Amino acid sequence: MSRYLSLFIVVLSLVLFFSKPIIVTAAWSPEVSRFNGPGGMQVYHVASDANPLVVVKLLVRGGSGYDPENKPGVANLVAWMFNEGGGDLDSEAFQEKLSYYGISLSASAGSDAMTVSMSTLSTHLDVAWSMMMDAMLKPKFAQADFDRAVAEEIASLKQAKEKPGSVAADALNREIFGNHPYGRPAKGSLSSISSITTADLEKYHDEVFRLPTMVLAVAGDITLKKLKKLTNDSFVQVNHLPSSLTPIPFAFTKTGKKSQHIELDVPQTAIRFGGVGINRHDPDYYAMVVMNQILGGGGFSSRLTKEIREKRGLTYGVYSYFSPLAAQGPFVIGMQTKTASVEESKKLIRHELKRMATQDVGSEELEDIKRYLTGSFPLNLDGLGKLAGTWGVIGFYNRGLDYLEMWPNRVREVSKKDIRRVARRILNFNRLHIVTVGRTP
Amino acid sequence: MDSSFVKYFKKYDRLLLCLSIIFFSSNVFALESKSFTLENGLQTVLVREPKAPVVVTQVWYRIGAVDELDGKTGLAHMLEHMMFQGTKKLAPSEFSKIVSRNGGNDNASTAHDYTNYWIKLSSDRLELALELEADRMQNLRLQESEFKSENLVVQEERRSRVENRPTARFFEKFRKTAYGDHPYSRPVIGLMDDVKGHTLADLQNWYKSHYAPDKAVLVVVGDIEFEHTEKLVEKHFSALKHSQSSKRKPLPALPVRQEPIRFDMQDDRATLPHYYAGFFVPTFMMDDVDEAFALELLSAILGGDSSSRIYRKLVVEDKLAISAGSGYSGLSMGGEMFSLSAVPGNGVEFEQLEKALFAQVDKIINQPISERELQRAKNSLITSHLFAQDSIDRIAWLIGRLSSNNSDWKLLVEEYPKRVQKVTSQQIKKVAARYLQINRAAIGTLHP
Repeated sequence: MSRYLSLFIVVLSLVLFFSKPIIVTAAWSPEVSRFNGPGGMQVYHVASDANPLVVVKLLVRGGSGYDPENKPGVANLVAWMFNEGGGDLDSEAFQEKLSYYGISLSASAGSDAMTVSMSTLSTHLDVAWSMMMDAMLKPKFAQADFDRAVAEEIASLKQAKEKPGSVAADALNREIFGNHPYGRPAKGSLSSISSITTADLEKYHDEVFRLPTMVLAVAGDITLKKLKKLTNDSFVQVNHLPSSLTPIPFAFTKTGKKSQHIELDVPQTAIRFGGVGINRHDPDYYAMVVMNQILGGGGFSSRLTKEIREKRGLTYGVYSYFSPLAAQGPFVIGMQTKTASVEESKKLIRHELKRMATQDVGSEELEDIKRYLTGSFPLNLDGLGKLAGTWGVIGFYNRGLDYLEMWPNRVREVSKKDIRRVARRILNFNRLHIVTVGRTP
Repeated sequence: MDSSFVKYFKKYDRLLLCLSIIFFSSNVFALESKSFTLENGLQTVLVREPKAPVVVTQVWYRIGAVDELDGKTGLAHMLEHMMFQGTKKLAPSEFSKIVSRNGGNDNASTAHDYTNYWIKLSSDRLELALELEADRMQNLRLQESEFKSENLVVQEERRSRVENRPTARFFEKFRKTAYGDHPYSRPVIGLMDDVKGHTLADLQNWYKSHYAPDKAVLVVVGDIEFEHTEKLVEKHFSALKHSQSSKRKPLPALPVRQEPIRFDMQDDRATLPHYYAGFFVPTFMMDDVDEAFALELLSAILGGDSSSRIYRKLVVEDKLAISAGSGYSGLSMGGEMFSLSAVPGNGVEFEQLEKALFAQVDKIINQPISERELQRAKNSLITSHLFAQDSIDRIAWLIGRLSSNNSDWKLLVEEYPKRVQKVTSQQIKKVAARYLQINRAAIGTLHP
């Protein structure tokens, strides 16, 4: 039991790496080097020999946004099966070897990217690296393992229907994005999953794991020289040709229902407000970071927390977040409350949205938020996983080597006017959808 | 690279040396630590881990849901919420605002055995964290208005965590069946009627009796200097008064059974069936830690990952289950449940699943465990352990968790690899035979 809802911080880590502060001060910075590997892939090396460990993140354009249109869930299954055999080893032998050497190897499908994560003791780096390459270059996709993956994913889709929060998130996504790839269910649906075959996985895997959009970030007990050698020797075998997958379109053609209620027999209703947010390159990115933090960001008494939780005790947690993706990602406000408090909570959220869009934020409020955002930076980089993950995302979205260094200054430059401008644009009632999942009051 | 980033103390030197000879014949690695106790009884552990300019403080109170009374469940957790609602110096909610304004994060957690509070921030703000924790250790101001709304928050928390979730409701009831009248049978968050019935006076009594320096452990891990930190701890905590109340009541023994106790629940809102068998076992917090180490390995071999026996047999080979595994944390002060659990596949009966699970237990007891399998389990436990050391939060957590039970934290931090390495397959078979008997089990099934 904890005082604050912290689940969403974990779930949205990719988002929060960037909606949270990052400063590289002169006094503290693990040395970061960037070089190009085979086929133009980008490589980041973060030196840190504090522990005999190495963490690797490999990002490549792919993920659920690139699922075949009629088969959402392919990317998720490719990720699920990433450690189910490779090279000469079938699933059982491969997993046994990973476990014996204490290597952790997995993949996950985000909206824009497929991310491979590997971590190992530095003494076993060579074994771990070659297993990662085998999984990528010579995957197995055995029918029996695939059937097991599908059975587990079907069970997890069924169980998600118990949870009002999951049901609401799926519905909201559909309404915000319509036919756009971001609107498809990332893990597929019960019907789409049943139509997927191993041939679909092979085709997708082959199209996605290509050098031109690959970004490799490695943090830990490994020298730059060693990393260069490992990368050049092994990645040269990866397909050099650009992928023929259709890039994520920038335009949105459809917007769904303004408001909907989904009946579910639970004592507490999930409420979601959401709309189209910003993309990763939006000039209002920093204004959005600050505005979101004031409205409903984590780790602080945001306006929504103050009004809905602290003053009235209507919820355990209320939050807002945005995902700045390759195309415009979602902006979402979420909370859960007992059936009888749904209308009051919706009204309070609306009131706060309007206030943000029509009135300037207070000077002290703005100053406090900036101090939080700029001051909490080192907390986001105090482990190898955080370092490799952050640099992987910086590389993937081409944010530049000075990105972390510039971040605090850019946050400090955000003015009250900037905040109102971005609030007017994003928190516009005409663009927001509301979904509730629970009992009809 | 800045010099502060170069390790002053190479804690892994010996480990690395050994690794290059034999896989994980690791012996010891040591954290740079210092322990002391103030005159008022505050036990303090400092660890210097300078790899990033960050520090975490954790205050562990030796008080939790086990110390509550029936009819007043959830009180430890309710007080945890109120610890952010103002002191003689601070207005309600100001605590977290100050932490945030200084670029920090904070939170707290309550469990059966303990209540824990943490602040993480830039290491040059360490004094602020200590000052805030010292202040609320003795100067909390409990007020009716804050309590009223925070109590509603906790009711919503209970709805989110338990009442909205079929599996959580199942486990709450299963726990009651398994533990009977033992304090571990209580839900930490409290039963809804109990939570609604809390009063300000209940909280005042709770705070007054259980929040004092001699009932707490302070852990500080991060980029710190010992001498300076020790001075700061003394400056802010030494004026706090020793408690007047008596020592914590020891926990009763866990129930012993001659035949399995069963709990079946039907729930229309559940979407998947669940099978769960729990066995009471000792932990690292008790006298015989050798058994705890053997149980840790038993769980890794039986059901720890997708190479484990239960997963391979039930999920991969025989397709009886969608998922299956075992669980053991070893961290409860009065013993805990070792679990075998599974989600049956389509059309598979619980009876068949149960048979298959216990067949794996029999196999452990009666057939050899190969050297390779044993070593694999050890390697995977030790590697996870080493990765956990990369997080100052995790280091602080383990130190606080053990110290608040008056156990030696070095056992699970520094000595862990060596102790895991020493476990034999005979010891594993012995604990399996001794504890994983079906007639001693509590067995729960959830039917959708």
